[in-house]
Amino acid sequence: MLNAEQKKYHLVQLDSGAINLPLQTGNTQDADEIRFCIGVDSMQNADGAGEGDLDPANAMYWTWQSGYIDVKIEGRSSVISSQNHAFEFHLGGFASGVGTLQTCAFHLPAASGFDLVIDLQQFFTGIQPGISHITSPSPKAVEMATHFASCFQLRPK
Amino acid sequence: MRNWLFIAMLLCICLAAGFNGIQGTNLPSHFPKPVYNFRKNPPDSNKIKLGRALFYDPILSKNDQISCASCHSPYNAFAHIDHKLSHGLNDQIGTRNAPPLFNLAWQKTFMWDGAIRHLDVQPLAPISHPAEMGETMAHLVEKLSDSKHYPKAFHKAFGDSIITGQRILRALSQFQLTLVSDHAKYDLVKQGKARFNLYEEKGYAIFLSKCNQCHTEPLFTNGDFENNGLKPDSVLRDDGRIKITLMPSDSLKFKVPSLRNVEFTFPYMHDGRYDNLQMVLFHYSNNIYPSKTLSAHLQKPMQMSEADKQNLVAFLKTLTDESFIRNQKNHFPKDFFGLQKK
Repeated sequence: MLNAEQKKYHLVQLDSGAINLPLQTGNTQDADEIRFCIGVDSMQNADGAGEGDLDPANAMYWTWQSGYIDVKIEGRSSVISSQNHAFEFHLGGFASGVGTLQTCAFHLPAASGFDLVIDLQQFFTGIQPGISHITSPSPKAVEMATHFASCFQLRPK
Repeated sequence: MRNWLFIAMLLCICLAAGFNGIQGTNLPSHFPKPVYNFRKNPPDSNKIKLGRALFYDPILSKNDQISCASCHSPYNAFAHIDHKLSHGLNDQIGTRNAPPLFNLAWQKTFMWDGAIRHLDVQPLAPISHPAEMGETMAHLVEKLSDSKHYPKAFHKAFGDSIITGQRILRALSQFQLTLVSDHAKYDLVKQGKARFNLYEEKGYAIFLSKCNQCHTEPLFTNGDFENNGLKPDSVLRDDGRIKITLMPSDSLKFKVPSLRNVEFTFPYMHDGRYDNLQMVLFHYSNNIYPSKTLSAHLQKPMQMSEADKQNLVAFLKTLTDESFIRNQKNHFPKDFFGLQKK
């Protein structure tokens, strides 16, 4: 049986460490698997401006072309040689060949709770050295989005 | 230096429900089925009124000086007369010619390179472009929420006074969708209410044999992208559609514009390089720049005598829709802004 959430999309902002994401999925006691997508499906992308977490005012929508930015990873690092050592990865795209939507699935442990963790060390060591900006749909963005999804881990509490 | 990191992502935890919509109202009978999904944003007089106010209000720009109408003037079928390239904040000049606005419900893509695929999200581009209006949607929501009259106008339109990005965009679409140009002499001829004169008739025959493949009637565009043989501008270095699709076969291709109201939408081409229709026709007959992606329809020189060109221009002027250009319902909403005076 699949328990899907009523609310489809959550804009998750991780600028201060861990967050709790309340899900409205009904009965979850018997669940043995969790599945989620990182990003916005092509139908929603082609459907104009969304509301709530999908409102373009949240700046997760490209302005110069149609489509949502699925993931923004921004920051500064001394190992980056760009201006102000800044890096900016805006991963998105829904056209064929440059689609960045990712799906993750994890078996749920028998234990009472779990954390979803993004292993940032794995993320940053796995990307092309010296790369500082990805800000449009491209094969590079797809590659990074795929890699980003692979850095999710489920850890029993 | 402190290292820092910020991550934002959109998570979707179930699948979307399918949606197929059609139907608007008062659509011209000799037009094809519109592309815009009216079911998601059904026409409503209060939303149209709000959208019209937003369209003419410079509050949409960072310095409160530039409105949509700054570059899309109703007197020129919502193009920008005399400006080759769009003008923006602080006297900045853009890279492309502001196109006219009408019959948008039939348009599959927007912008010269088709970067935008839905009318509702098109305004994001000019609003946020640093050389155009330079504003963010979040700040615009704030400014409108703090204004005296917009919360009331949103209440009338949407049932409560909450202002969101989606509501702003949908209201702008509502107004822009009312900009239907279907009362040109050409339309009256098609409906049996008028007749072409001799020159127009001859011009129409030339049009059908030489232009209609791309500028397909009755919308006078097929909505596709073509390389129409313009020599690339060495300053602008604009490669067009390839920027969006990343496909070499799309290099130097731009959207085929509609020829409706073409009499009023000069200067012509994506970079506004031609000032009048005579120059455009000279381009097609004598000035095609060959390149790998040149349109299949322009491989052979287009043979036209001077008389042919004059007749063709006579026909093109039958695409002028005076009633559209003069329609006060499309113009600056004096009453809304009259009430706005503080």
